Formats: sequence, C-alpha cells, structure tokens
Amino acid sequence: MENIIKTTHLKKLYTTEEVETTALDDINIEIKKGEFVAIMGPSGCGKSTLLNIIGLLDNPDDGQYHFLNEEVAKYSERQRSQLRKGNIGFVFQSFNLIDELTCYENVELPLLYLKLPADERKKKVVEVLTRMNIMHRKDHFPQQLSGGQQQRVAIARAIVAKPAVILADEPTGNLDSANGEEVMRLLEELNNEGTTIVMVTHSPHDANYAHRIINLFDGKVVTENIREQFHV
Amino acid sequence: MFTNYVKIAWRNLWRNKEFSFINIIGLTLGIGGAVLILLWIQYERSFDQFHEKKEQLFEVWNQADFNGEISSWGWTPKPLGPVLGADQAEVAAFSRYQTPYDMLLKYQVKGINQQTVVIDPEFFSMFDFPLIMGEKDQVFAKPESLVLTESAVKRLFGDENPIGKEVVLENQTSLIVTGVLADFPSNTKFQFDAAIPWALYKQLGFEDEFWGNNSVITYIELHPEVKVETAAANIRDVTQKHSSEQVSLILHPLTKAHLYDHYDNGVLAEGKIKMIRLFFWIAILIILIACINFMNLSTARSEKRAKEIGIRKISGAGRGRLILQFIGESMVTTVIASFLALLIVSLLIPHFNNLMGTSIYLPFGEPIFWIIYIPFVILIGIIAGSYPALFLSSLVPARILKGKVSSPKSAFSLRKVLVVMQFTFAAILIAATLVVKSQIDFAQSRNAGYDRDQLIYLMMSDQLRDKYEPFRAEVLSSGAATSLTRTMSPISETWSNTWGMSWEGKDPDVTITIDRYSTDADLSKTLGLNIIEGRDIDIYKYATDSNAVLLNEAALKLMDFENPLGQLIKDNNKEWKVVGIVEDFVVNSPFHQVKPLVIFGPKAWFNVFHLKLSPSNSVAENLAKVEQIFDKYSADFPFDYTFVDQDYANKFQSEQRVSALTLWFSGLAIFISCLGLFGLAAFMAEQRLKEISIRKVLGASSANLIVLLTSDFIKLVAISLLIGIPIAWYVMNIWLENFNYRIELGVGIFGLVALITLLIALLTVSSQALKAAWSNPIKALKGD
Repeated sequence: MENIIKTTHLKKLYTTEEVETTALDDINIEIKKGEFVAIMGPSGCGKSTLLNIIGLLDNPDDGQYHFLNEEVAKYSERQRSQLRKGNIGFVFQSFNLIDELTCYENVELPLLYLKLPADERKKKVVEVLTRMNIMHRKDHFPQQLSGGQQQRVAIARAIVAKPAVILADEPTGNLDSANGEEVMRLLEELNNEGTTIVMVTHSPHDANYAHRIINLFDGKVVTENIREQFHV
Repeated sequence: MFTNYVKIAWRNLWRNKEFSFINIIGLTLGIGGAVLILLWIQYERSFDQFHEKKEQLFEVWNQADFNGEISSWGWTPKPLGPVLGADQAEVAAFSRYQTPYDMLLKYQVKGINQQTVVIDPEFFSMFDFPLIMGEKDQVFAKPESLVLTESAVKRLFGDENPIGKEVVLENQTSLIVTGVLADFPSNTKFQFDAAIPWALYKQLGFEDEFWGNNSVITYIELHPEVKVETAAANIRDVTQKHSSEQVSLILHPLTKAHLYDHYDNGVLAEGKIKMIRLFFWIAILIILIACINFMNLSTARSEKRAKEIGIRKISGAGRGRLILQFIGESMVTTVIASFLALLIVSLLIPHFNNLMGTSIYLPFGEPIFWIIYIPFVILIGIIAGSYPALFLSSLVPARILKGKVSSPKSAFSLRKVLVVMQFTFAAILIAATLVVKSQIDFAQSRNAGYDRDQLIYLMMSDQLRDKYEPFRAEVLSSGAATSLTRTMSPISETWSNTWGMSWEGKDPDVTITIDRYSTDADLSKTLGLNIIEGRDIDIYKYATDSNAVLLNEAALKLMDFENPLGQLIKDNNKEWKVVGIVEDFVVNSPFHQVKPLVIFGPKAWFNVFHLKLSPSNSVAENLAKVEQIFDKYSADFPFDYTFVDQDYANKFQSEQRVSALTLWFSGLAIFISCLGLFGLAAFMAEQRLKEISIRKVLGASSANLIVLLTSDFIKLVAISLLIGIPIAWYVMNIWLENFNYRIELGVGIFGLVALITLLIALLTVSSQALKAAWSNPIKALKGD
C-alpha cells in the first residue's frame, strides 16, 4: 500500500532565550493512503507539533518528511502553502471558522484560493453542506450555530476540496457527547470513502474509530497499537 | 475573490464600529485637511498663470548697491517703459502701471470713487483680461478713453450700456467709456475698477521725464524667441545710459511675482512660497498622522484578526493574497473617508475663503481634479494599509490557531515609534501655534506711538485742496473734530522715500533711504504723537513753517545732531529747518523697527487729511456734521472716510491668517493623533484586562491601575517632546527671523508646549484607563 505520509528521524526543537525544548525526537512514522490514525499522548507530548508538521504548517528542524512521495522538510512557506492547497483539510477543536463570513462563505473559502469558477464552487459547497446536513443554515454566521453545527461546517470546509488527508486536532474536544459522536461518525464515513485521516485526541473513545493508534510521550513514539487490520 | 474581500472588509467595519469610526473619522479629517491645504496651495500657485504669454511677461525692477548691500525694488521711473519699447529689440510690448488710486468718476449726477489705474494701451494685449465690450487695440485709441470693469459699470450705470457714454474724471476731464473688462479673478495681482490711458495722464501734465522718480511699475513682454538671460543682459544698464542714476535693471518674472516678492541682497528671495511649503508639509504630516492611526489600530487588533488569517492560510491563501486583502480593507476605509472628506471640505470652503481672503473651490467638474484625487486616495489607502498588511500576513498559522498569538515584540516597538512620531508632530504644531500667536500678540500690543481712537482720514479732493482752510475752520468750530492735519499719506503708511536727502555732517558715500511725511499743523495733537524736543509744525501760527521739518527719533539718531533744533536738511532742492523731534511711532510694519522719518512742512505736498473726532459727541453725530461741511466745500466728491484703527488692524491680517491657519491645522493634527491614541489605549486596556483584574483582586487601587495604564503612553509622549521641542525651537526661530520686532523664544513657551501635549495625551488615555480600572474583575477572570 502506498505511503501518503512518511517521516524519518524527524526532530523539532523549541528554543527560547534560556531553554531549548525538544518537542519531537526521532519520529519515524508511516501513514498509508486510506488509513485512519489516531495520535494520543499526554499534554505537551508533541502531538500538535507533529500534526502541524504533517499538515505542512511548520517545518521540522531535522529529519525527512515525505508527503505524497515528495520530500518537503525543507520547503518554504510558499511551497508548503501550494502543496497544502487541495491536499490537506483541517478540523480543529475550536472549529476555527471566520466569524465575519457565513457558513456558506466559510466552506467556499478553500475553493476560492483554488481559483475554481463560481458555478463549480457553488455546486461543491451545496453538495458538501447538504451532506453535512447543515444546508438550511448556510446563510448564518458561525456565532448563530451550536458547537456541533459549527464543527459540521468546519468538516464541510475541510472536505470541500476533496483533500487526500484530513488532519483533525481533537475534533470533539469542545462538543458534548452526542455531537462528538456524530462528528466521529462523519469522519469514519469519510475514511470509508477513502480519505486518509490523522486525528490527535485525548479521548480513548474517539481513538477507537482509528485503525491504528500512535502514542507519543515526551516527543517520542512510545507504542503503536494496531486496533484492527487495515485493508485496502 | 474580490467580492469576498469587499464583503469581509465591510463586515469587519460594521462589526467593529468603534474602531471603524475612529479610523474613518481620522482618515476623513486627514484627507479633508490635506485637500483643503492642497487646494489653497494650488490657488496661491495659480496667481497670474492664466496669461497665454506668461513666460514672456516681466516686471522690470531696479537694483542698486547701498553701502555694500544690494537693494531691489519694483518701482521704476515713468520714462523707462517707452525707452525699453523703442530701443530694445527683444521687447515686444510694454505697459506702465500706475497702481490703483481712488479717483472720482461721475456719470450724469452720480459720482463715485473708483480704484483707477493708468496704463499703456498694450496692457490689453499683453495680459489675458477679456474685454466684454470694446476691442483690445481700439479701447485706448484716443487719450480721453475710459475702460471699466463689469462691477464698476454696474455701480455707475446700472443696467445701461456704458459704451460711448461720457464720464467726468475728478470733476475735470470728460472721458468716453470705450471698453468693459470682465471682473478680475481673485488669483491675479491686478485688481482695479477703472483704467485710463497713459496718453491722458501725459495730457493732464502728470508725466515726468525724471529717472530718479520711481513711481510706476513697468511691465514688458519679450518676443517669444528671445532668451530671458539675453534680454536681461541687454536691458541691465538702460537707466544708467539715460541718466545719472546708479541703478541696474533686472527682470522679475510675472509668474513668480506672487510667491517670490522680494530679493535679499540681489538674490530672488522666497516670499509667500515659504509659507506654502510649510503648509504643504503640514498637509503631509496630517495625512501621515491619520495613516499612522490606521496602522496602529489595525495591528493592535491583530489578535482579533489572527484566527481569520490562520484559517485563510491553511485554506490555501498565500501571503500575497493576504497582503492584497488587507490593502483592500484599508482601501475600503479610505474610499469611504475620501467621500466624507470631500463633503466636509465643500462645507468648509466658504469659511476658509472668508478667513483667508481666497476663492478656492472644489473643482468637481474638472477631470484633472479626479485624475489627481483618485490616485491620491489610492496612495493613502496603500500607505495606511501597507504596514498592517505586511504585519498581519506574516503571522504563522501553526501558532495562531493554537491561540498563541501575541504581537511580536518588534511590532509593538514599531507601534511605539509611530505614536512617538505622531506626538512629535503634535508637539511641533502646538509650539508653532503658540509662537505665532505670541508673536502677533506681541506686535499688536506694541505701543504704536499714536492714538488710533476716533481717528479718521480722507483723500484730499481737488475741490477741497483750494478751500481747505475755511473747511478746516468750519469743522473745528462745529465741534465735530478736535483737530485736523493734512499729510502726505495716511498715518498707516508712507508713500514716498528718498536716498537723496542731505544734512551737515552726512557721509557723502553712504546711501540711506529715509521715509517722507508731511503736515500743515497739529500733527501731534491729531495723532497723539509725543514731541520730545522743540514743537510741532503749525503753518497757521508760524508763517515760516512752510519749510519747517520734524524728525523722528530714528532720523535724529541717523543724522546724529547734537542740537537738532535749527539744523538744515536738504531735500528735493529745498532747504528745511528742524523745529522739533517726535517720539518714534509705527507707520509701516508693526513687526519691524521704526525707520528714519522726516516730516516736512506745507512746502511738501498733501494727499490726505486726518481728523480727530470729538469725544464729546457720538461718532455718528461727528461724521454727519463733518459730511455736511465736506459736501459744502467738495460737493462733487463722495465723503469716503477710513478709520485708522481699521487700517492698523489690517496690518496684522496676513500674520493673523497664518496664525489662524496654523491653529486650525494644528488642532486638526492633534485631534487626529488623540483619536488614534484613544483607540490604542482602548485596545491596550482590553488586552490587559486580565492582568488588571488579577492586580485588582490582589489589592491594587484604581489609582495604581490608572498609573499603570497611562504611564506607558506618557513615557512615549515625553520622548516625543524631547524630539519635538528642539525641532520646533529651530523652525520657529527661522520663522521669527522674518520680524525684527519680535519675541525671544524662552523656556516658558516650550514648558507650556510640554504641559499642553502631556495634558492632552493624559486626558485621552485616562478615560480608557478609568474604564478598565473600574471594570468588574470577575468578568475578565471567569473566562479562564
């Protein structure tokens, strides 16, 4: 099975004036196309740092990172931005919708940056909003929605450009259990359709949706549990 | 994508009303102020630029070396024009210009005084003043011709067609109206009601061939192909060739006449252009201050915008796109402000014109206005948006989406630098306002040396000239005036000077200009002058006083007489005997030292008479009585009087305009600065709300907190003062060099500047600090 993400001896340091902290140390992971991987570990273990690097929001200080078979560890912000576009979708704990844009406009945003024509954008946005069962609130602003609805909009935005990978950073962290459950089911559904999902979570329950769990501790991979065999 | 930008810009504006209001108002006032100044500058620059032959038109000026210093002046002898026209091949045309003077014009029974000039016929072809009636080359075909302006025609003829009608000049000479000039625009130095030809002047016997009598302005038009330098070199020595006068001629371009009106030691000096340049910089400062507000407030809000920027970045926005977006947002604000600015400017223009004596207008209908205004607005939008755009687009998404945005240290420092810049400008402008105001107050409170109260003057009409003595006696016996005196010119100015005066002990190699004045009697009584030695001239008491003379202190000092009384002074081929010394009094500029003045007895000439109205009656009663007597002796001339105190007040007009302009635009700049500081203080207070709350819970008093919140700003303002005050001191000293009767810049005035600036900043910031200090700490802490 083809690797979509592969890191080799990945290292990330945070340096302040006085101390140097190793956030990630010798991370070697491989994520295959269509996999659903959960990254777990205590606060400060480097989960989010790893997700940021995987998501091309940040560069490692050492090691290699292959994304879609491309070595991207030394990419500039501009190159990373180019590669991110259309390939990676993000879902956050705090939804991160733009308050000044309506649901519809929030979802449309990645397509605007992909410079798709208006009618095509409209088609895709309507399709994904309908799928997320939020079409009836398309003209509302984020603050007018419940947390669960907001997260559905955020997922809609993450998948509208049909990215190869969705990176979810504690997607249920701000939701009650019912809404959380719904979000997880949506992610599972997307995964079943072939989207690779990498999710950072604290919740063992959520992690159960994944095929594989990578446990981090103090910036290192300590264990990898295969929950169920992943088949193509 | 563009609609998305506009949409979000608009929603951002709408959602953050306070912030948007401050930004829009700041930019509106900034743009409005700058537009007003730029329109005014354009107006001042447009003086006499509308003549088609403007590049070929020159005033001929005299230049002479007086004791090692080169003096330059625009008055020239009457024969100069015709000589230049006849002898100099490069001169295409010339016209002499006898400056406007009230002359009586009478049509049928109606007589009015009109400002009348004497010109040569070529005047109409040299300058582009359109004739509504009459032909340029025909109007002065005969000496007995009269050209009137539209307004003068209205006054004299009403709606009647004036062409061919007879008008009597000064009750003596019949003239025929041959032309009507369109009223002059205000942006020309030529302003008169009526013009008569030089040929008439000559016929009436006023022409003289004396090269030493500099009494007219001479204009010439050069042939288009002639180089100015060549022409200047060729005419340089014309006066010396025709007379014994040791003066050279120079060409003063008409296009520069308004802004460059004098020469310093032979070099063309900056006149009004200096002030224009100063206000140009003020306009730039005002715009910059408004842009700085926008930058500061936008970057201060970066935390609020950070999330959006992060999302846009992970959604695929490149930095270039984001920069475009933020520039677009500042553009939306700027465009709104630019429309509001035009609205405000159009409301202010009438007041501005009133204050400044100008006639500026917003040229909406002229494409050139929009060709300049639209890029101007775009440029401001780019300047205002540039720094926020660069700063906000540089935020790193990985950090901001984790809520780890704090303004980078360097950005905060830059914000401090910008605040320091704003308040440096503000301090300089406050200092300028105070210095200009103090200087004017200083000159205004100067003892003029004479009493302006209830003092009027009138022009001496020809009728009155012959019957002055009985007129004088009758006025005095009527009780309307306590005294009268005839003089050469109004007390507010001298009309004649000379460097030909001599006296015993005078160094023959030294050339000194001395002002001339004259009186028949009661000069000191009428004007309230102080005679410090000897007595006043009084022809009615002392028959020999016709060639008596008074000296002012400055003249006495110059002539250096040990016993001045009885000394003889030679002037105009006559001998004059000193009978008294009068204390110095201000005749010309109240901003300059009193110059040597010699006051001659009745053998000189009189153009004016002054009356001291009686304090025992009302002014109206006095004037009615005087008018009645005046009409008896000078029936054909209107009773046009002027109050000397008004004349005196007019001397301050130009400086008062500078003062008003400085005051208004400084106020504007300071207001915009404060608006920015207010917004910044609000954001800072909001940002530190948690810190304030913790401090409050731990026992800090409101006073502690206010000090905490304001001290940062006060430090910045203090730094601004340290930078601004030396600059202001330097600049204002240069300005004060224009006056030799002037204030000295002391510590006091700058102490006041510091106090005002600090107070303004403190008041601006403290309201926000109070709000924060009084807020309920629970609210801010609960969120954690």
